[in-house]
Amino acid sequence: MSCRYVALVLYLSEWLDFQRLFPEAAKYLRMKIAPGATDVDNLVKELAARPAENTKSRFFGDKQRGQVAVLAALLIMLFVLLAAGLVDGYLLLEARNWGYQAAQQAALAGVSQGRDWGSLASPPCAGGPAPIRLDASAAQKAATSLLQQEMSMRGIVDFTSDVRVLPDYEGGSISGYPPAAVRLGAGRGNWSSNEPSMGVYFSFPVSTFLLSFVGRPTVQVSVFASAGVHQPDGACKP
Amino acid sequence: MLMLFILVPLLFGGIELARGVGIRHSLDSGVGVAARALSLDPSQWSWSVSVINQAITDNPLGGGSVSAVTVKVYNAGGSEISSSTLASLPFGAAFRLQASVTYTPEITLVGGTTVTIRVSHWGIVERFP
Repeated sequence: MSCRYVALVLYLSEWLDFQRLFPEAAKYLRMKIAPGATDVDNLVKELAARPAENTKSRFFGDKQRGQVAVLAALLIMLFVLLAAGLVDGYLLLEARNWGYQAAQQAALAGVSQGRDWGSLASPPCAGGPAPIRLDASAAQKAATSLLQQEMSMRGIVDFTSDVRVLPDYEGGSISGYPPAAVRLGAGRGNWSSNEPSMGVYFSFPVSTFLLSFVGRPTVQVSVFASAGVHQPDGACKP
Repeated sequence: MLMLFILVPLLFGGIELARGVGIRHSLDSGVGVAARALSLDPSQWSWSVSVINQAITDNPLGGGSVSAVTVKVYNAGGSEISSSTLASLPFGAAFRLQASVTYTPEITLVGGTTVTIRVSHWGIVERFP
C-alpha cells in the first residue's frame, strides 16, 4: 500500500481525530503500515497545513459553475408566481365572503320586511298562538332591492340572481334550487324549509390576476343563503 | 442585486398586503358589531363609532399609515341619513352602516399608493315600538 495514498485517505478521514478516538485501531493501522508510519504522520501534518485547493468546487464542480444564476432565475419566477397566486387566492376568498354576507343580509331583510302581520290578526287555525307567514312580493322586493344596492356599490353589473320565497306557514320545498352548486354541494340543490322562508342565490364574475395568463380572466362565484321566520312555540297548525 | 430588487419588494409587499387585509378584517368586524348594536338600539351612535375605531386601533399588525375612520349610515333606499334620523327609525326598518379608512402601504424600493378600504353592513331595527 502506498504511503502517500494512505496519508491522503487518513487526512480525509481526520486521521488525528481518529487516533485520539480509536487508539487501538490506530495502533493496528500503524502496525500494518509500520515501515511508513512516521512518513504517514508527517504527510498528514503537511497536508493539514497546506491551504485547501478545491474548496470552491466542493459543492459545484467547475462544470457546474454558473448554475446558481439559473437557480436564482427559477426561484424568482417561483416567488413571483407564488405572490400572484396568493393575490388571486385572496381576491377569490374575499369575493366569496362578500357574496355570502350580501346574500345573508338580503335574505334577512326579505324575511324581516316581508312578514305578513295580517296573518296574525286573522289566524287560520285555533288552539294555540297564531302562526305567521310571509308576504311573498314584499319579501322578494326587499331582498332584491338590497341585493341590487350591494351590487351597485361593488360595481358589479353582469350578475345573475334567483330570489325565491316559501311564504306558507309550513314552508315547502323547491327542487333544483339553488340552480348551481354552492359551498361543498356537488350539484344543484333541493331547497326545503319547515317555516316561512326565503332564499337568495346569485352568481357574479371575479377578475383574476394570475389565472388571466392561463385563460381564466374571470372566475364565477356562486353563493346562496336563506332565512326563515320561526313560528311561536305551540303555534296552531293550519 | 437583481434578486434583491425583486425579492425585497415581494417580501415587504407581502407584509403590507397582510397589513391591509388585517385592517379590512378589523374594520369588517367592528362595523358588524356596530351594525348589530344599532339594530338593537339605533340611538347608540357614539358607542358604535367608538367600537369601530377601537377595532382599527387594536389591529394586531399595527395601525401603520391608516387614516381616521369615517362612518356613514344610509337608509334602505340608499340615501345618507344622520345619526338622529337613524335613532328615530321604526321597527323593521333597514339601514346600512358604512365605514371607510385610507391606507398607504410602505413597500421598500417601490413606495405605495393610497387605497380606500370601505366596508358596510346592513342592519334592521329590532327596537320595539
